[in-house]
Amino acid sequence: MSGENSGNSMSTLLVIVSTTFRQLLFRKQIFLLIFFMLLPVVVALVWIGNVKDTEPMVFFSEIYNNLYLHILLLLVSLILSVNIFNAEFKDRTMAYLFTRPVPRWNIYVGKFIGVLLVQFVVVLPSVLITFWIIFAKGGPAGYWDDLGGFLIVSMMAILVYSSFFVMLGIKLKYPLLIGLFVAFIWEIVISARSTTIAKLTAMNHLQSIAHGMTDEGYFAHLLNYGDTGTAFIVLFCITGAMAGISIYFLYGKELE
Amino acid sequence: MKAVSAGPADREKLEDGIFLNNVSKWYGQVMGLIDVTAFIGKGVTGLLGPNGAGKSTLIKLVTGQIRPNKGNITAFGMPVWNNSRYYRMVGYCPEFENMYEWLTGFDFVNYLVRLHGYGKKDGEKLAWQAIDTVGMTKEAGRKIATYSKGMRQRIKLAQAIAHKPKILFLDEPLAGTDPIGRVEIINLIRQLGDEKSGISVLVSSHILHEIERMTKRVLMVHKGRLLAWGDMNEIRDKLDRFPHSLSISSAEDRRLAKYLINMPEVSSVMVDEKESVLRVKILKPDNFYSKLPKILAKEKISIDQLGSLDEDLESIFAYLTGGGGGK
Repeated sequence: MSGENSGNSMSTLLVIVSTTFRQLLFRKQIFLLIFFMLLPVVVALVWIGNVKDTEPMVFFSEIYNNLYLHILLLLVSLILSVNIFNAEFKDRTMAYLFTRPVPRWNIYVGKFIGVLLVQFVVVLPSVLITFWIIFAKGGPAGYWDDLGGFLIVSMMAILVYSSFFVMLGIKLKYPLLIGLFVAFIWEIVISARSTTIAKLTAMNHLQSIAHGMTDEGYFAHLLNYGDTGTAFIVLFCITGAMAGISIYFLYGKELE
Repeated sequence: MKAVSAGPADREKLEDGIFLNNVSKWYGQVMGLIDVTAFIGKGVTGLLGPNGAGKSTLIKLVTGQIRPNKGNITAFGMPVWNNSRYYRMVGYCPEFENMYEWLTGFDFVNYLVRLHGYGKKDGEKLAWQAIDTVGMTKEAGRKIATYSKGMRQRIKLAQAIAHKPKILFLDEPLAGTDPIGRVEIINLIRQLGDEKSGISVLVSSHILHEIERMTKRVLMVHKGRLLAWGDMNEIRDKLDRFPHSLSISSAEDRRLAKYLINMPEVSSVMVDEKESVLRVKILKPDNFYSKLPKILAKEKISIDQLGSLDEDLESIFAYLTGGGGGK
């Protein structure tokens, strides 16, 4: 039979990606996350109905920083990524994958891409709609160029946080508490400090990218920021390191 | 207890199957498997033992889900841990019920068969063939979450056989199936493990008569130790040093008991007054059976019935685990 034992990594990768995508998209918790993602949209709707004296970019960047970066992106990434392997270890369905002729790095990459895509589907429309609501009514046309910047920051946040939370889910039996600590203590509290230690957080680098991509609003006036290019490099390095560690853990993983 | 081996390792090349060499696996302070040496060749091999005996640990080891703490496992001369070449040949039906509940039965089988590198069309064809083989064609479009336990067993079996594996590991495949389903699955396993097919099937169960209906070749585990392995009849021959149990029915049972107890082959005689039989334990069956007619003729004692109490796996297992030999 054609295709038998072809060992086509790309083909099996796509099968894992699409199945992971479906797996996550049809979970009940996805509705809860979509509900959370509607929160900034509602805030934007309230704003256009009442407040007229705030600059759209100032308002959007405040929403983006306070709601998206500090809460929603972390929350969505934590909830979806931490379980992508962990839940399958716990309910033992990982045995079906581990006994297939698919290298474990392939399983990791497939599932990781799948979880990223689902987060893009959940997060990016919310950013897009919130931006549109705020800027469609009277915002200067030039601001639309900034939308791309916010979408890129969102994707980078999803990438870096997911790589970390997936790693926690592979290594730890109960990763949620550690995940919550890192998300809401380390990332939020430490990044808020105007000292060098803030640069140890992914949040600071995400804010630095946002700073480099916008001329007005909250990020334009950020004090503790770094170079945009460096921030990209640091975030990609963190993601790569987390992926490497995750694959290393996965190769040594024994099923219960 | 030392394992009673009637295994084929001495006469088959170890590269023709799965060889466990002095394998031990422990979980913290708990021993899962202790110093197991065994060979799994072509055809159906039954893996027997009570719950918690180490059957699933053994299957996890040979499917490369866990690594031994001691010893090594090779399949067709290859290591089994993290070896994609080996996994190409493996079909595995786990004992747990969890599956991807949100998928339909067909999608589940198709997903897993496609991980063997099959394209969409070939994957679907193989998935349908396997689903048809296990009799799940009508229910294949339903979500797994709606399946009964028996249906789950069948669909798990389908994913294990869909890619036409050379080695099949079935962990308690009959659990939860109805009587008709049991017969169908037993027949299917026998068919899959037919010597002509060249497939090795290791099937675990704690219910001995189920295994008896599939194969005569067994591995018996208890408390993590391999008690016996090989052909059931050969195991029986090797068990001659263990007491065999007989029941003898005679009108003169007390007089017969007096003669029996004096035989060197007899280790004990018990009069079961409730059932009016003698329960006799013997050590060397051949000697005993050649001497008994002579004694009966000489003493003019007639017997109504002589039956072995340990013809089945149940009794062999009881012997080996120290649970006695009678039913």
